[in-house]
Amino acid sequence: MTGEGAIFKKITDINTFGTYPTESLEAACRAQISDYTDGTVNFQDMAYDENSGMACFVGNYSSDGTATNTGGDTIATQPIPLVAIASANATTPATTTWNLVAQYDSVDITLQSPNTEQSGLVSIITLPFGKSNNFLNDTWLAVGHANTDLSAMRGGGIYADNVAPNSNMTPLFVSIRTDGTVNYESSVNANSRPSWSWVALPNSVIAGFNPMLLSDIVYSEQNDNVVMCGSVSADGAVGSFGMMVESDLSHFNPLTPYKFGVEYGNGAGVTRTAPSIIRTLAIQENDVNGFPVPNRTIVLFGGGSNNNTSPASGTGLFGVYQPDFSNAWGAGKRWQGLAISVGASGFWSDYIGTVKGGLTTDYLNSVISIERVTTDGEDLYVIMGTSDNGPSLLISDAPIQTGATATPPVYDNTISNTTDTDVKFPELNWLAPSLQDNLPNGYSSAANKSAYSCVGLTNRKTKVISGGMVDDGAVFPLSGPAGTGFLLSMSRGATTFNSDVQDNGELPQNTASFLKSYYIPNSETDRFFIVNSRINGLFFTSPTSGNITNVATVTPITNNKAEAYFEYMLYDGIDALIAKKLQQLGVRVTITNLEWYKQDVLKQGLDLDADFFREWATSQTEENEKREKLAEFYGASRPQKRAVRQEFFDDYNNREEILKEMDFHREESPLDDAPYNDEVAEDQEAKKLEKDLDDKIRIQNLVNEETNNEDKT
Amino acid sequence: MYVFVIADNGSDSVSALEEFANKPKSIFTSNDVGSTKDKNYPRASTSINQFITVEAMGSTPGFNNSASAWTPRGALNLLIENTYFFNQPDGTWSEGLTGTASPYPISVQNQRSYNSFPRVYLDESTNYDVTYYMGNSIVGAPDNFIADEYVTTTIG
Repeated sequence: MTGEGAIFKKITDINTFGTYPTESLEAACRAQISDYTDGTVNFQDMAYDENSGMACFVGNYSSDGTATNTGGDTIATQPIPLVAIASANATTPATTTWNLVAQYDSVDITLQSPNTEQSGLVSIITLPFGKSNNFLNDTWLAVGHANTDLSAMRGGGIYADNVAPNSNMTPLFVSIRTDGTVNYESSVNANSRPSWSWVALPNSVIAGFNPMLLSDIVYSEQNDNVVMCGSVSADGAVGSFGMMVESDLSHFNPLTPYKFGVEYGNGAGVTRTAPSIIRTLAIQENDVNGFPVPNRTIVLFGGGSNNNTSPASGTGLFGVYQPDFSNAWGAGKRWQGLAISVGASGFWSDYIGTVKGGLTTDYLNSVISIERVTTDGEDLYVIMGTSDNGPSLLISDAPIQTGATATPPVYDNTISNTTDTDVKFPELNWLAPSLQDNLPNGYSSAANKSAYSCVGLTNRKTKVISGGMVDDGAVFPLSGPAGTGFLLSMSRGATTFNSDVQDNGELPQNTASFLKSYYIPNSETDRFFIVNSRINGLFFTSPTSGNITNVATVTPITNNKAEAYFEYMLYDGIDALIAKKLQQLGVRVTITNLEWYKQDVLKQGLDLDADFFREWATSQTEENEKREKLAEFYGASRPQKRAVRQEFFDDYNNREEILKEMDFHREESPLDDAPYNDEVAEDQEAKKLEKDLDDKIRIQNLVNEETNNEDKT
Repeated sequence: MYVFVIADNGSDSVSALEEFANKPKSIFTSNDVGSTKDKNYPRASTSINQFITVEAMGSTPGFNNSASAWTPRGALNLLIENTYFFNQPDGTWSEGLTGTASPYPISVQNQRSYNSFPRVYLDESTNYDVTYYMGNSIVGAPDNFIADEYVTTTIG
């Protein structure tokens, strides 16, 4: 652990599906999907709709080969993309009501080869409520890809089948409503704008490429359009490129509203074991002053141009993209990379190597996820990916600023279509060492592990970061080892990481390849979803049944505790009266003293007889004598000094003592001389008379003086 | 003996937990911290023919705080009518008797250094309260992302 930011250390109140096979999701799959193969449902992503309180999960399941599509054709055994709407009790998986919609019509009835990738929906977003006209009444948008027969479907044999490591897949883009209606925005389905009807982005060459995979989508609220990313395959060849797709629903022919471009091939002369893919997107739509505007949309993208564990470090893709629908591209492209090549050049070497002192093995081989996290009060881009040295993490303050490269640079949040672009990250840090130091399960140096998701907790102002296994640079591969996902607590400012939350034995992580987390809005306790999935979900071998996917909602806690104790004694009734009496007597009020006093009173009351008063009088006398004796001992009984004119009474001050002494001598020793004689008495009498006379004279003088003064006035 | 516990264990909202920090709050609320919001007056009183002696007070010890080892920086005080029992030497308000001076529970590491608790008597019809001041937020103090600016240029 490093740093000292607020974190949580444990998750509690864990609500999961329940016990397989009667758990809510598995039971719903068996009841609602006729061709469902038991235990094969697998989720890849989810999105929560705050307005309806529903959540939508996307993924796939394995068909048993008995289903038929709308054309009446029987679908061979294969993965089927699945939309699963949690229509009630979405935040309590154990009691969730599911509305499951299998996408039979999105797949070819025959499973094509190569099929290293599997059909499924892999990413979903929630549309802002009431903002979209182009997707009116839709709540969610999801993307993925589906098995297809390219040679047959695309132009009747003009195009060939894809070649490994590519798969015979075609992009799938759907819009989803809360009532379960799913519309194909793009698929092989008739009248649904198949990818081979897509057109080229300005100044882009698309001939000879087959759009193959879609892995992420962002919605531009300022332009009511979408940007998607994925991969295209070189027709009939091993090559592939990263792909960007954008809609222009306001201008294009309704049947061809999507256009795409390709960049960043997986190269020649290297072993190409995975498709080049742009895997993840994050969006900002503001001018340099932070005000939302439609013509300054910038999309950060990330991906990988080859296998995540490729022999050459630093194959991770990273760059910026400005959609044509936001700022027309004109004669060029507003699509530029920061890290697009292998090894020594680009963002990884410039920043991680030169600025942060990292090694070449720290350069990212693949950017797995870029998320813009705002819900904890910070506005950050969290960039997660793989490197040879283990999972990597970069965090940047958001939004970033861009401008055409110039001296001095002028930032206007445009991406130049004619020259390079300067990109300013207001604050940027590479945090891979901190992440790796806190990873469990021996993941610290694993090149095929990555964080997948990061969410901010609104009330705690801290973050959750989760992830796990990544395989082969593709999105939803069939192959891939099993693993265990991880879940970390990360402070808002990323100064503190904590893995104590990782393994509490309650999450079914033993079947997960990776974990993703999702925030539940308006939760006073910051509850969030955890979705665990397997990379090779449909073809797992261990365990042989159940819990491929599980969904949990959890509450983060710190378990911090403060205690206070207050020890007191309450006396009431007669005890209170006695306690008060003890207080007045100056006796400590304790149970012992109170009981003693009470017993004494009771005893007196019970033994009341004629002797009681005599005993009381005797004890009072004894007590008084003791008190007087003590008082005399301490000097408390000596006569007080007179305050004024004591000289008048000096002669009488010790009169009583003298008389006492005289009596004593007279009684005890009558023959002794008394301690005085007439001479002393006469002398004292004379002094007294002299004093009296002096006083009278002084008084008379004062009176005369006053009288004279009055005459003068 | 009355024991008060406030814990970040999922039973209270985060806002209620945070509301508790940095102000004296009555301990006579069990764990219902939400009910003490914005209330700072004596919550209890002795009735006729009641007499209370305060025997001792103590709370969780610790001053320094970190994400890995959280401590509350807590202090207890007695409020009698409108007067706090523990004040600063100059008479100004004090957080009270700290948990470090009078810890609860007592352990080998945390011994009571304030072992001559003054006897406080609450006579009948006396308004009083025992307040707990927790100086550190129980959910921790959030940090901010701080890093250096970085400017780079695209490469194609």
